[in-house]
Amino acid sequence: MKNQKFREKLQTKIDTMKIQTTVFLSFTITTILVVLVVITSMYSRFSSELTVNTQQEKQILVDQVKRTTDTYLRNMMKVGESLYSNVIKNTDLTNNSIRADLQLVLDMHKDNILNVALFDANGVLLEAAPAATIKENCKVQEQDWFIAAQEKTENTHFSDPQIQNVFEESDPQYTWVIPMSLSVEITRGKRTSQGVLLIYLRYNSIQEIVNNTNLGNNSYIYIVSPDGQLIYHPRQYLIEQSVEEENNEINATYQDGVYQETFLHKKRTVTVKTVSYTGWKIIGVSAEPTFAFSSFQSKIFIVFVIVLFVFIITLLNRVISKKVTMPIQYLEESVLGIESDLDDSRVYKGGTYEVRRLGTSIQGLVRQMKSLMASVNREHDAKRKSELDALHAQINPHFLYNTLDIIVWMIENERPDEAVRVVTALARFFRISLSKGQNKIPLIDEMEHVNNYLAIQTLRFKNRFTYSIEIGEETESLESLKLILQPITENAVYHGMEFMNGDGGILIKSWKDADDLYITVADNGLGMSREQVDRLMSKEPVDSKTGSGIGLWNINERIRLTYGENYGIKVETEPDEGTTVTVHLPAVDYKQEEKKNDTF
Amino acid sequence: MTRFEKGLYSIAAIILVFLYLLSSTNFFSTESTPEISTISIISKEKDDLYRRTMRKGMEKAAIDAWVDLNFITLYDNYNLEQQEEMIRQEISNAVDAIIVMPIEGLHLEEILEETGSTIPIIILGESGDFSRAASQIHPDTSLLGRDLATLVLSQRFLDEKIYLLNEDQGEEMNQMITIATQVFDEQGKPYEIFAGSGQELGEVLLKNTESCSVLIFNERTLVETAKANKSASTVFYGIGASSTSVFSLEDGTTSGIVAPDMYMMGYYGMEQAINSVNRVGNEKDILINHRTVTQNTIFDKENEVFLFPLN
Repeated sequence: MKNQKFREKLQTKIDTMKIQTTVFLSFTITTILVVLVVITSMYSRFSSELTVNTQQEKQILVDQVKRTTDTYLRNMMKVGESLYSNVIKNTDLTNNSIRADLQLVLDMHKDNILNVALFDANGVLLEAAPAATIKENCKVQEQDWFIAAQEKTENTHFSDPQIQNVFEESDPQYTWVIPMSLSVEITRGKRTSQGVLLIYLRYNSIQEIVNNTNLGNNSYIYIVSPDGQLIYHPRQYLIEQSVEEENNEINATYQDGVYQETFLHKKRTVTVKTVSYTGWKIIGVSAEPTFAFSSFQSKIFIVFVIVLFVFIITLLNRVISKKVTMPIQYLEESVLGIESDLDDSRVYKGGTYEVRRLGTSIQGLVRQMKSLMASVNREHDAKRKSELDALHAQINPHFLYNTLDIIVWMIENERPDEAVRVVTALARFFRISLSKGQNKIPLIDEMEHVNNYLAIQTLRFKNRFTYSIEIGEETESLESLKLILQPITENAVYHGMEFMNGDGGILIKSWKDADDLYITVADNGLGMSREQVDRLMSKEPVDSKTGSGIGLWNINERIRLTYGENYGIKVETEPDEGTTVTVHLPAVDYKQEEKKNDTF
Repeated sequence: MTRFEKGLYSIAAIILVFLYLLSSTNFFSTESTPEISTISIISKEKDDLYRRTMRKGMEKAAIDAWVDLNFITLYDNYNLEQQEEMIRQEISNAVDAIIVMPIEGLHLEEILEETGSTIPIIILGESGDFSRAASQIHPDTSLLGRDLATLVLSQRFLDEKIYLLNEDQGEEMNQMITIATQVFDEQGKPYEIFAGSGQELGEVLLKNTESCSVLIFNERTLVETAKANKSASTVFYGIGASSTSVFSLEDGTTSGIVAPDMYMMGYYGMEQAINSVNRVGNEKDILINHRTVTQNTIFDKENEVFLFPLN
């Protein structure tokens, strides 16, 4: 229910939203979306490039560790080999000691070498530097380095890291060492036999090589033997005590290269390099890089940039949308002004070309509308006045009084037939005047109306004049405006026949010429002066003392409003010769027109 | 622009200025660099001879934290007054956390109660109920006692006499002795609890002509007593994990040890101290493992890495 109300409110808001707000919101949202898309794609591109670069740098570092380890081991091998080829091989151990040579080597490499010792094939210590004895419980022949040297005499062997547990120490240190052993030929007099040269490499040396290389946050290097045993790991104890885990057994199976793997639900990149001679693998592990702003000020700076961006965008969009929409707003205000007051027709015509065009068009429309409204008003006024005039004429007390007086006189003089004729004419006169309120009637009815009027008036004027009505055959069914002939006839009676003495005549005639209908009302009366004609044709009401007071202007206006400027009435008059008023109408069939109007 | 809009833009401009000052100047605040915390480690002995491995574990745990470690040893071994003095001194120094191996747990509680200190205290090697400790890390003393007794039973004759040295060094020792005697009782093994010092026990052993086994639950006492009374008829067993203990074992001065994981004790102790400093939350009670080591198994791969941690 609440949701529905909210939606309705929202819809109302949207529906009533101003064009400026719409433009502003559209611009702002579009800009922000576009910028977001650009930033996201650029971030994605740059971060992936950065990731690749970072990984490459880490690979280089891992490679450096590998090279350093290689060099270190190669140097140690050279030490062993040169000791063998330059000292052991050339010395008869029966009478000579090589301890000084061993000590010299030890002194030269004391940072890397803990012990140097020569054993015979039975594991008996022949020479050692520093001077030492074998631990009581130590069985040299069972040591892995001794076995390896005996089994593969041609190679130099590196065993897994172990505690030095062969030589006695006065102050036991339990030092971690990497045994390097090689099979050597020992000369004793004329006899030669196999022996084993042991060099205990300090484990610290390997540790330092790795520790000196920093891969960065969440990254480290570890060394693993080919069978997956940890040689070095920065968290070796924790791993060996199962407090933490490492993927060493799997990593040991990798060939040299870069691998993406998921270990303990975390993605990481593993770089593998194999060390020569030992088969050890240098493993560089780096967590999936994440680019985050760590410091508080950096985070705030990002917020600042975003807010600044939004601020500038909204401000710019505000200005642009105002610039674009203000002319429309002014135009709207103009239209609203016209809506409330049509006379205030000043329409805003500024802004862009389209808005200026729109303003001009609206201005034109208003002008046309005003003209149309004026026409409608005029027509309405004329119609109203005409109807009022007609009504006035219908109830002209003078006309009615005189007619009724005639009727009374006829009855008193026992002329009932004539009285009946007058009453009948009067009744028909009023019936046509009403005509169910229609504005247009058939010409035959309009003619009958005039006929009734003249019939009464001849009796009133005691046959001072005669009249004749000639209706053209084709014109009977044509359409005429109601009550246009009676006022013209009235003028003819009052202005033309008043002073006639039985020889007055009025002729009403209709005919059709092409698409036009002509009706003339002609009298042979006194005629009229130019001033009288002008007064009749003027807007001013005529003296209604004797007539109906309906001016010819009014009739002419009604015709022009109904049928256009080409139609109307024309007055031709000559003093002492008479007056002819011609009514010009379009020839329209009354019934067809009525049918058409009914359809609409 | 309406008044509302003007107001809105003005507020936005003020926020922008504020954000700029906050992000790019030191007007409101300076970028806080990580503070270095000081954590003091108070031993109960005069040197680190028996605690080197533990120290290694502590240093490993502290390697990525901004911590200044302050190792404090006493002038004399197991000197309660000195330890109290050291604890009070560190409290007055307002260090961020104290890791302590208490000589006497109850006494430590009293000191903390008295000083009203709120400095986080991490207790190492004691399993007693320390209400004021943020965390306690210790071996399972019951299991230590049981495994030590089992080791003796596996190596010695059933009728051979056993001495259990009780130096009255707190609840831990009493508990180990109790459990060991339970094991001997179950097996019908004769034993005697000797209350006194290692030296006093040596005097008794001198007079003893029969072969016997001696169980000593303090590492230093074990090494010193065994060294002083080395003879063919007496064999020594005890608790120990240092290289000194291993050497005694290797040269036959002692015959077997049960070695607590001192590296992890140090590691967990430091981890919990750092957690306290960072207000991350502590694990109240952490048990560490131990291994039984004899002369023949010192250099077994597993024991080797356990007794001599690489890093």
